Amino acid sequence: MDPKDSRSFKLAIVADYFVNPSRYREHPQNTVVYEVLRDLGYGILKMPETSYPPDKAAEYLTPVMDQAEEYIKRGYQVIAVGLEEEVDSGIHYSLIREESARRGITPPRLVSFSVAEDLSDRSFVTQRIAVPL
Amino acid sequence: MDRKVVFLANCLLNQNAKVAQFAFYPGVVYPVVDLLRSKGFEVEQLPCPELTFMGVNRWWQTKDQYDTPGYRKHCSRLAKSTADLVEYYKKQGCKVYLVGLDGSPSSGVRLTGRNPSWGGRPFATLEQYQVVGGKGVWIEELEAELARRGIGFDGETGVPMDVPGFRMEEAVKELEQFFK
Repeated sequence: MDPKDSRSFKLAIVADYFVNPSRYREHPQNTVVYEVLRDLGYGILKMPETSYPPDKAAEYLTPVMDQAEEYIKRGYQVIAVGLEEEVDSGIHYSLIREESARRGITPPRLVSFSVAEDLSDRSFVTQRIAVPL
Repeated sequence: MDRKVVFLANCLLNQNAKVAQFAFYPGVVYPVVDLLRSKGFEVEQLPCPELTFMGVNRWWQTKDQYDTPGYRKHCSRLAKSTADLVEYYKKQGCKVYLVGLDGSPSSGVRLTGRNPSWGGRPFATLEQYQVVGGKGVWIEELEAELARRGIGFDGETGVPMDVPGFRMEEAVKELEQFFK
């Protein structure tokens, strides 16, 4: 890639909660996971909010997976960041796995956080995202 | 308080989507995204039709080159699932805005890039990229799909990151003014 180009070659498919916590009043209202992804240089592919109808979310996922497939095939690192308390980690991870298998790509590594963890602890969040589980 | 949802061009959350030499940040364009979040906007993301059509290693292209039946059909297909999401928020009574990528042949809202003579063996300079008024192909197709449904954005603008000489400080000021 051109030296003038600042891209990170790292992306994360991210649950809506981490970008838009105000939509999830039942969960802690902090944005540290988003901030850590931002500060580590991850590009974000954001999934829709969890109340979005599943059939529509599945349609939404198709171009997300088209993008993920292209990045993975070109050697970019793609992870998935979800929340345990939401169905399918809030990112339809089972569909991501199925789609990955159908496309012959390795599914993005899932980093799944829980509201039971201290999601305001930047070093904890950073370590979870940066270190393969 | 009314909910405000802003649909961002894909690359404002993910600079990896950019064509070579146009990624100015590693990932998130945080001056834009953080400004909008601090103003209470809920953030949504448009797909990147260029990436899913031509891939991440595509050449620089102008609107003239993307303005083909095949690319428009690709954008039109993508517009359906995006319009579903726009419609979902409109039905909830949210104000829905668009922040595109001005100067882009696809995602430009106020400005796009043209040069009818580009084509053939790849050779291009920034000076040949003619920024002109108008929307990119993707935004045209998305708005056509929204119009078919009788809806539209409540306001729209663009961050001119594909305009030569772009300065982020000015873009942020302009965005602040737009959403005042």
